[in-house]
Amino acid sequence: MTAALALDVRDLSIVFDTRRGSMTAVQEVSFTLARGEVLGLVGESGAGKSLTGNALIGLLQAPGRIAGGEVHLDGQRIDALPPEAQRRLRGKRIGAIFQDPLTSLDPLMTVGAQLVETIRTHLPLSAPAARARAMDLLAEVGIADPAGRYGQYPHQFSGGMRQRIVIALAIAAEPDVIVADEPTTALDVSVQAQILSLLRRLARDHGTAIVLVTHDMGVIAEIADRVAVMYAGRIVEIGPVTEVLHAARHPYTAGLMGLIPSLSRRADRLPQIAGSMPRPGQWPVGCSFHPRCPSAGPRCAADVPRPLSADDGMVACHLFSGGTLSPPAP
Amino acid sequence: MKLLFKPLILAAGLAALGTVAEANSLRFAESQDVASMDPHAARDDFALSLLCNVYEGLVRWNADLELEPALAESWEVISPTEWKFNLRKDVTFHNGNPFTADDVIFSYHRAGDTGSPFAGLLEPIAEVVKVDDHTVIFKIKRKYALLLNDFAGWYIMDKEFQESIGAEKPLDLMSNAGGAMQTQANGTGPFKLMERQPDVKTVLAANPDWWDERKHNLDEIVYTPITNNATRVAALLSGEVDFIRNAPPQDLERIEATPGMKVMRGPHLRTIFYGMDQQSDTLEGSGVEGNPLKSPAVRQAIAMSIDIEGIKRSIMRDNSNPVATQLAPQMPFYDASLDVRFPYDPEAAKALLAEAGYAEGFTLPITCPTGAFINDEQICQATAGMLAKIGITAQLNMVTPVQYDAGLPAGDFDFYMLGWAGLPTIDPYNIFSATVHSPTGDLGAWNPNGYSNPRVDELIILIGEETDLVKRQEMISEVVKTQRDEVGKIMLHQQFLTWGMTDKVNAIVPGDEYTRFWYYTMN
Amino acid sequence: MITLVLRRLGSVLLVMLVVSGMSFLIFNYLGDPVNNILGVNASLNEREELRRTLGLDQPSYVQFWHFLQRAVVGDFGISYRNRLPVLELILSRLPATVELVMCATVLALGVGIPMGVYCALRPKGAFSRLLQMISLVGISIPQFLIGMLLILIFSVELRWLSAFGRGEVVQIGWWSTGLLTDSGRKALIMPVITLAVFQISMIMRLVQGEMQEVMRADFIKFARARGLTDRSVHLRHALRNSLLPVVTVVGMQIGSLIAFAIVCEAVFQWPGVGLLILQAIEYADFPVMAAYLAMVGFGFAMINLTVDMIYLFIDPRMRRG
Ligand SMILES: Nc1ncnc2c1ncn2[C@@H]1O[C@H](COP(=O)(O)OP(=O)(O)O)[C@@H](O)[C@H]1O
Ligand SMILES: [Mg+2]
Repeated sequence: MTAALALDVRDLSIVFDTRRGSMTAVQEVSFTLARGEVLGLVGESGAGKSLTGNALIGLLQAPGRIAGGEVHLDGQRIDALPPEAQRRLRGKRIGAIFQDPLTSLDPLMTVGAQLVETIRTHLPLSAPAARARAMDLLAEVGIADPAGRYGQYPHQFSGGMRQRIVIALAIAAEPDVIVADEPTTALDVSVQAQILSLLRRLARDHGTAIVLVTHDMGVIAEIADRVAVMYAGRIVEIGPVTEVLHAARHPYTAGLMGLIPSLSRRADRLPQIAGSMPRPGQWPVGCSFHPRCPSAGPRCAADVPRPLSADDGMVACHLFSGGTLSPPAP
Repeated sequence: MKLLFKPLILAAGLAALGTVAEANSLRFAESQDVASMDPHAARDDFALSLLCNVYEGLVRWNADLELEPALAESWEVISPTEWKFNLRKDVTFHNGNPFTADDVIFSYHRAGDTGSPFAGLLEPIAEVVKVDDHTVIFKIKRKYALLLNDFAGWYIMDKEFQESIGAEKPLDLMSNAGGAMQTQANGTGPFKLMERQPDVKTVLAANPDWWDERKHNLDEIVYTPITNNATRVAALLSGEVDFIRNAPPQDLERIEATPGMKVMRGPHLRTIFYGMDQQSDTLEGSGVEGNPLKSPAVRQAIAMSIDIEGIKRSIMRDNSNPVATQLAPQMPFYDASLDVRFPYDPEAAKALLAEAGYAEGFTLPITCPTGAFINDEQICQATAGMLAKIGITAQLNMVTPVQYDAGLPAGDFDFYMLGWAGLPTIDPYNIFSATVHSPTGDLGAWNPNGYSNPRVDELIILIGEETDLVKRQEMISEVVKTQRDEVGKIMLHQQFLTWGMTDKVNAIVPGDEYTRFWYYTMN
Repeated sequence: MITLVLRRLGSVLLVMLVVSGMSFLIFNYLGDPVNNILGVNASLNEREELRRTLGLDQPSYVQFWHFLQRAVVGDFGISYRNRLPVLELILSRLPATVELVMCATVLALGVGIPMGVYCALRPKGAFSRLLQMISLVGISIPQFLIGMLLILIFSVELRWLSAFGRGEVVQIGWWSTGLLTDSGRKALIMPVITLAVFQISMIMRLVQGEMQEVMRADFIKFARARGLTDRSVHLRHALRNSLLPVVTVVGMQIGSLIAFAIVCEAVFQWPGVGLLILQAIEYADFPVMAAYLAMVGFGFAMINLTVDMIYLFIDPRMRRG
């Protein structure tokens, strides 16, 4: 069963060790990802999405560390591997794309050289073969005239083109999973769609599973198969994209999606829900969302709701602890 | 292979070491290089003090600083203005050329023609006449007492050689005439030039064909300029050099404490004193009307304020000898009866100042060179402290030696430290004509606005002409006494020479600082 | 690029003009060489005569004008002290200084950069802290003291190295090098260290600071995400991007090294231009001083030009097109 999953994250927790003790920033995050599947990870800024993404690719920066849980890639546990083994997985079996294509590339190196360097790090190719592959990759991500562009430097490309190159770099060794952290946030709206469809195509053609971190509902609607909603370090709801968008179960998700008709709105602030998301270390007792929750009851302030699995999803809310998964009354 | 060769190489190395050890090589370091191998290029005692080993004059100074025949065997005064010199016949230059009268005449013109730095030295000569290959007659313009003294500092060069390398003239700073003499030398002296890299290394070797009896046992002299005092001392202590002239005063103890090292001391002919403006009507910056330095009483008060024994003890570390007159005891015609200092007595000095109308004191600008004389800065500072005790506020103005050399003769300084050794003449006339005579075109260059007494000026001219020793002594003593009584200078002390060397070296330390290596031996 | 070079050459000429012009103004206050040439016994008349011959009686601007007229045709006059053509003299001393400065630069880069990289990667390690402490000392100790300390230890006490000079040098055309002989190489050790200590500390701190900055950049994180080895991330990406400011500073430092070399050359009696100029100052050897200052102006400008070129080479963003 698990062997079929591209990515299986179980109870992942991330803490920061500070001088005043350790502080939990991500708690007991679990989700799975099948081959070729695109999972949208949404939530307000500061929810812990990037931390989770970084943890997946093994690039959590001190003082952050994984304090619990497991990450399985194609059935193999990777979070406990020694750093060098993790390094060898990165780029080869699990890749990453970051938000700002303008700063993701080394300004002093031609894009060709950066591609070849990545390819030869992971694949046993000769220099000419790596070069040929680099050209193919450039063509694949939609760079016209790969041969001419091969020897150019990042500053000679536009933002959208650079993100294409970043993607080419991420898929250089055909990884099974790509963690894309806000890959379109820094781009023009017109370019965003192109990049998203490129990612979608990659997932389809190569069977690459993608974790797409974003706070943009439009992005989710466009390419995600499933959505995981994060609030204050926890995943509060997972479900197929259509269901979550149109029939959210968790009051937070509902607040995030349901109240405004347009899907292209941004979810980084929720003016329709009073208050703001607490920072790590300031999480309230019980359900973290209860101070803002319109449906909160006494239990919400006392216990953390246990995640309840549904057939194609999960929700963590006391409204559903009775066992029924019907949407709450508005 | 390797095994077989090793002993061979070792043996070769040992043999090489052996030959090095056999040769007596005197490695000598100085603070600067001689500017050129041309003994006529600059009237620079530093250069001549080394070049005297390569070149010779008609006469020379011996170890006791007495004149003795050198390239001239003998001489006679035919008339008061005609001197006949009989030249040594068996002398060759280092390149093998014989030494003849033509070389003397050539060297006279080379050094004495207008534009040459030595023109002033040879100015008394009107003409040199060749009698035969080994006899010349010098016709001089006037009666002159110091011809021989001057000749000791005028070196003879080989006419043929100089012409062959295009260096007939010593100095032409506007074209490249002196360049050839940078690395070549052809003299008659006890040592000849083997190798020279300017500012790096100069190697001399003993001249096997030297005309004089060889008393030294040096085979080679390797001369290295090392500018930095501490490095030069380090080079001596590390055994890289055998001999440094003028070891820095602060390092003497260290050198003497090092096993196998010693410091040889000797009195220097140079005496140190303060000269001052006694002519101007005002003393700028003094804060008082008029020029207090014009008053002999004020000058005496300053003299009496200086604790010279204290300076000797704490600054000179006993390497000095307080003097009352400009003539060092080793100078010819020194008169010990006159060498009596004004007593050190600040109270009496204060009274003198009050009598002269300066009870409130005044401000005295003192110009002091930094590094021209031993401990010059410290002495000036100590003087300032001592003057304060009699109410005079000293204002010290430190200048570099070149600024000092340019500014002093130009009359830029009101009160200044000066030292004079009377070189290369080694006669009181040199001291008097430069620092005591009133400044005129040819005389008194180092006495600007300074001490001036017509009787003394007259005597100085006579001292230059008088050959009778008794009469000279009388006149010299009169000048010395007059100047002392009128406090023409404020006298400090005679410096001591302190030369550092390894125990292997036996040197002589003459009062003119010349390194006459033909008196040196090495064990 | 050609216009850049031409523009630079124009400013080089201007700098040389201004520097040497100012030097003539300063000469008046430095004293004069007359006493050194004629000796203390020269009369006032002789002094005046020589001053006239040398043109020292003329106002500064006239002296400067005469200097320029001759400099244009490559004639910088004759050294008062060495009595050699100034240009020839300076050129004969230049190899010693250049060799010293180059070796010191290579040492400073070769030691300073790795130390900087190490400290940037492990800023909290004990060894890093030690290095940082040493570098602080290296920046604050005067060069003269370092030189004397080395001499005391390695010459006076241990007697391993010579306290002065360049050892045996080999002449290659007009160039002279000590790198080809044993004694020449040994002679380089102490002066090069003395000259390099400050630079090592400088470069180390600079590289460390820059690299720590660059290590936080996105492209470094992305390089890691691509799975590149630490070695490649640190050296190929982080270090290279840290080197731009280092190049500028090192360029300027080479200039000041030539100036610093004066102290070092004086301590070790290193027969380079530094020692030459020191002695020229002591002698009031104005032709040498004027030419030296013009040469230093020229050297600084040339170094700037080279730095610009290196920039072009390292940073593609500076290139046109
Ligand atoms: N180095 C750090 N030290 C302390 N807190 C951190 C650090 N990095 C991130 N955080 C905190 O962790 C939380 C989650 O951050 P992140 O995962 O970047 O949020 P996002 O969901 O916007 O990607 C934020 O509240 C942030 O303040
Ligand atoms: Mg984020």
